[in-house]
Amino acid sequence: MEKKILELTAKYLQVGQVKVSLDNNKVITEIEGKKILGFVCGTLLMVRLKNRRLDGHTALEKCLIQDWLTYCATDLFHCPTFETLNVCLQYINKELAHHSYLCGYTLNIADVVVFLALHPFISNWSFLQKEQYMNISRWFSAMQKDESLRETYAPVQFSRTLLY
Amino acid sequence: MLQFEHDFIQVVAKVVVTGQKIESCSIQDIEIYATKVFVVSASAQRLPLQIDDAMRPEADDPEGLQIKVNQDTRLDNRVLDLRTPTNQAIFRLEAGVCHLFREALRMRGFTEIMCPKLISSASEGGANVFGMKYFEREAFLAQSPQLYKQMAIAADFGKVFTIGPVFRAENSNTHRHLTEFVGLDLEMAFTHHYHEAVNVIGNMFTEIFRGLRDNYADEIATVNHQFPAEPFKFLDPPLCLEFKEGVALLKEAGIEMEETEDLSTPNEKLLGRLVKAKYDTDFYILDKYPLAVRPFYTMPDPNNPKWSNSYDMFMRGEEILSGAQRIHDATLLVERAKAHEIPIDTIQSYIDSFKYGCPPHAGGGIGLERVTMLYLGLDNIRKTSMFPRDPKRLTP
Repeated sequence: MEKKILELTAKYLQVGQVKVSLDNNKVITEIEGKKILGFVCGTLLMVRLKNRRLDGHTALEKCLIQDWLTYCATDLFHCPTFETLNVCLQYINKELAHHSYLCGYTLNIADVVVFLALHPFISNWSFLQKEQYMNISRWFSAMQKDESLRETYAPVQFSRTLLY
Repeated sequence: MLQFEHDFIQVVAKVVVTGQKIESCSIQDIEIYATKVFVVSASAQRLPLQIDDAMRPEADDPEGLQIKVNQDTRLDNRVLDLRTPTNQAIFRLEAGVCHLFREALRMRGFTEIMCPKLISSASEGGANVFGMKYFEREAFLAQSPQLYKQMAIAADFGKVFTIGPVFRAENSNTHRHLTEFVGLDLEMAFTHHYHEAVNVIGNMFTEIFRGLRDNYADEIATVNHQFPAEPFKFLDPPLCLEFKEGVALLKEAGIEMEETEDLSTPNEKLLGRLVKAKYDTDFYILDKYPLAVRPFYTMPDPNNPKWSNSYDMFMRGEEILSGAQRIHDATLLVERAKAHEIPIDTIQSYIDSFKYGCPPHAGGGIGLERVTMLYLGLDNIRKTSMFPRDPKRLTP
């Protein structure tokens, strides 16, 4: 899961020559000669090389990004059942209740990573599920409008009227 | 001290006005001071289910107990289960639906007819009929009074309706199918356009809903106490959308489907939700279905053979009536039967009934239990059938 998300993030950031490999359950990112171990560090390396804006402006934001990336690497990517995935989704839903994006009010790399991870699930949701996770739907709908994401991923329909 | 919970007793007593209101009873102002009590009919001591438990609301019980009586237990001991106030209310309301149906049609000049249920050949779709020995030959239980309604129209009755049991041998164990239910069917000859029939049916429904809302409010409240549900909303005149418009609504919501494709059950439910969100009504009519998905006796649209003069009506997103203008010309009927690859000899008597002239007519049929279930917002049709019949249940 980490390998796939790293590759998708690399494509999003247009990093170019990146090699991601697995070694004993640890993911190694190799870019421009440098080898980095671990998902969080690999993502941050790519971001700092390519698009510093997505790394966060304030120290608090940088902290929150690292927190979210760690949450992804420990919990979100390793959900064995749908029940655990629902627990993660409820946590994300609660966090999004008071912010536009995961770490505040601007888009950053944590949002992109969580979007890439959740996209295959949310595109199969029924309208009832989208209404149950209202905040995630709102955040996802805003994420879809980003140019590079819009080009690569088919848009998911959301209903603006409450159906259930 | 022995407890006699379910004996039928006769009480001779004095009725007295109380000083304070008695909050725990339904009659709060008066008390009875009994002078003589007679046991008219005694009951067994051990009961298979407690009436108190059977009438407890499943969620948000004021006493906080999470006791539920299983549906099978209820249906096996139906006599006890029917004593709960909720069930008394449900079946009085169901009687109200039947009464309002009769009144609404009688006032519009309809005649009630009685149709036979023992028939010699399976009318529509031979797979779902119950068969039996009838002296030396085979007979079937009628799947719908369709043929006889139409014969009554050909017999110059003009407008007819019939209320009687309908038998469907479908092996579906769902929350909304029974093998035997009460069908309220109507058929009328019209003068200019089949929409005359659609308007009659639509206005009849509006009258039924209004009558239930105004005259059976206590019963609805009693049912909602145990089974909470949103009140039923409807428009006057009823909302009528074309099938094309329904498909357009679904496409806007992201469902991929062809314009002439039949609606699957999840799509029907979603369309019900979208119509509720847009028009604020739980009841609507979908007109002009595609010809390909309707039975062979449906009249095609004269302006465009892709569509047909047929309609469905929905309550809370579930279909309750499927109706159409019927083909009243024998030659056209044979042609359509051939197009559906139905052997003509199995429907010869049906075609013969139109041989001596028949006015153009349209109609439809509803299931009494399903309408009651959807009006009250219940989740299972067995709650609205007094002694339900399904593939697994034949008693009581």
